[in-house]
Amino acid sequence: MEAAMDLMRRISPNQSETALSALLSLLPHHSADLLCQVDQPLQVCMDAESMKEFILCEYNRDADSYRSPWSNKYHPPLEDGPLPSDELRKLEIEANEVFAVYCEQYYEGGVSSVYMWEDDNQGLMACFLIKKDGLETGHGRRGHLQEGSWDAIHVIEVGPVEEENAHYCLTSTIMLSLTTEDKPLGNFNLSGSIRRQMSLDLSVAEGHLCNMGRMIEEMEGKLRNSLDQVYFGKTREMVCTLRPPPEGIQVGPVEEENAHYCLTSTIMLSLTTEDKPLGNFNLSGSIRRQMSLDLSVAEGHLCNMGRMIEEMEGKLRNSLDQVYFGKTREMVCTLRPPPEGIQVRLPES
Amino acid sequence: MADGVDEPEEAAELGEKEKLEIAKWFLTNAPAGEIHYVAKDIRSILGDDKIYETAATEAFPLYNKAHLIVLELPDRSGDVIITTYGELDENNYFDPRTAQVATVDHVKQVCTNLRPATDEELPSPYIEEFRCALDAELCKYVGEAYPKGICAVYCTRGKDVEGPGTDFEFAVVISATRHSPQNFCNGSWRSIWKLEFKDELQVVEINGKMQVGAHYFEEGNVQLDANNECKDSTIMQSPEDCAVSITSMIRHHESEYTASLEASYLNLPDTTFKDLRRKLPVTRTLFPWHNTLQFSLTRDITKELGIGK
Repeated sequence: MEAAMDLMRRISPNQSETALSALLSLLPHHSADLLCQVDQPLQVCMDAESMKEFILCEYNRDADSYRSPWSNKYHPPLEDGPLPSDELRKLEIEANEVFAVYCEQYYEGGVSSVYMWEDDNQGLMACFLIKKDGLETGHGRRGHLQEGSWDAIHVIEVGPVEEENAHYCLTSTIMLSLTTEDKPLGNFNLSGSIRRQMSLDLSVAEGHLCNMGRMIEEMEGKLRNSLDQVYFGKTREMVCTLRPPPEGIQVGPVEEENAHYCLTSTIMLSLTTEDKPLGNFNLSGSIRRQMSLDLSVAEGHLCNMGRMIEEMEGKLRNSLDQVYFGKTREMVCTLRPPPEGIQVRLPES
Repeated sequence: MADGVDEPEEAAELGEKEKLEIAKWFLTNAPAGEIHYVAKDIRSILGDDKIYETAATEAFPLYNKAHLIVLELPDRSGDVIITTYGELDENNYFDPRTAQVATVDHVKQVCTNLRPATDEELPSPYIEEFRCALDAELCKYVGEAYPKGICAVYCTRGKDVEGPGTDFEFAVVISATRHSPQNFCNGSWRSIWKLEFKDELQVVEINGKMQVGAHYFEEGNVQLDANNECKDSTIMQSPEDCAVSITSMIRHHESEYTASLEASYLNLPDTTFKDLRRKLPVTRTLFPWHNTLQFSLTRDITKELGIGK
């Protein structure tokens, strides 16, 4: 099983469906575990009765039928398919309505579904799902994406209410894929899958829905940022490590009075002092940084490039001074910490 | 769902051939630098060493060629790139720079034997002049542009051409990888430039394909898969002049591609990513969950946020 999970982390997220079905056929005894632990892109089905789409997952499935959160009926129809209790169904209906609005606000489209069921411990379990197809907004709005998808699965376990508080445990998985295709870039595809957990004890004064909603919103925000900065950032770093951009400034073609400037700067410096009682003291360093900006060409290339260089030199000077040389200073103090107390050096007169 | 009675039958149903295909699929789709980890996993899942070994024998050569794996020559005189352009047969690969042929164990990814290339395997002196000049310029470029890049120039057509009057073709291969499994990050850059020397028109047509991949998997799984193709051409001159102009075109296109990749990443948060999920709603505030206490208020939220249904 461990080997199976490791494989799922290595195979490209775009191929996770093929990988999972391959694993299921190799390990039929582990199918329950695999289906539970391996996340798959979400599928959507149309509820003809309510004329709305709903998302398919393990939590609304029985045999080969899936329960729609809108009509509360199984598609294809099923006799005796499990249904939530009347009271839970009320909460489920409200959750679906509100989550649909949340989905519209953040995703400007997409399909959402919420499924709830009773837990053995008098608590409840809820699953909030979102499926967004990037092309919806792509062509109509900004048109950058060729293909893209964002799938979010949030499973919350809510413990029984004790003294007006309840324990919430949220496990969230985001799977996403973005493909752009245009000259001069060719095909560019970033895909990813991450999963995180968050547990909180909250007062139930404002109701479960409110608590769950806020947790999900916070988690989605964190995961979005994490994917953007950390995860995609790491792949970007890798590209720059494989083939560092050449030094100097690269100026892209001018489009609609703007141009893309990519500055790569290297500073090499060396300082040596030599006098008693210090002996020989030498600090030398070399750092390289990149800065990319889109700027208007109204004031001309020279002005833009000059300003970027000035800003970069300032940053690098400070960086060398405070961070880099600072770290070497820290290292000296770590190697041999200065003795406690006040050291007084008498002035030389 | 299968019950106890059906399971043994299901397991037997998946024949050896299917298992073999699945094992090969996983191996050939492993990301750069990770085939050994994938191999270990698939071996333990299969539980059948015979099938694993067959799969490995068939899959590793495909993977190695696709990823332009670089192996050090046994006498440390250089490296050999595993690529179809240098393939003499499945286990023997030609290194044009040192004029040697290496026998390779694909699964272990090592060279097991080395011998000088025979005269039939080498290009003619006329071709070699062009190849060698280009190789020298290219090495300079790759040494500067890539912290850890390996390159080679192969003659893919017309290697026995004795003098002017006939067309010939070269393939330039550049392979750079960075493996940091301890940092959960691996990446690879692969470029293949096909050069057609057209004698009659005295022109060299250049076709390049660049492929970049990166995999970051610390508590997650994110992969970059990017590729680009481009064309260019230059006039055919002396071997040294050709070498300089071809290399400078390669340098130009690859630098431009690097800049476009960087620009893509720069635009990502504000454009493509936003098409999927905004950072915040248009209202620039968090979602008003507290107004969900009563069902009827849902309609008020819709009005408040100004969206129609």
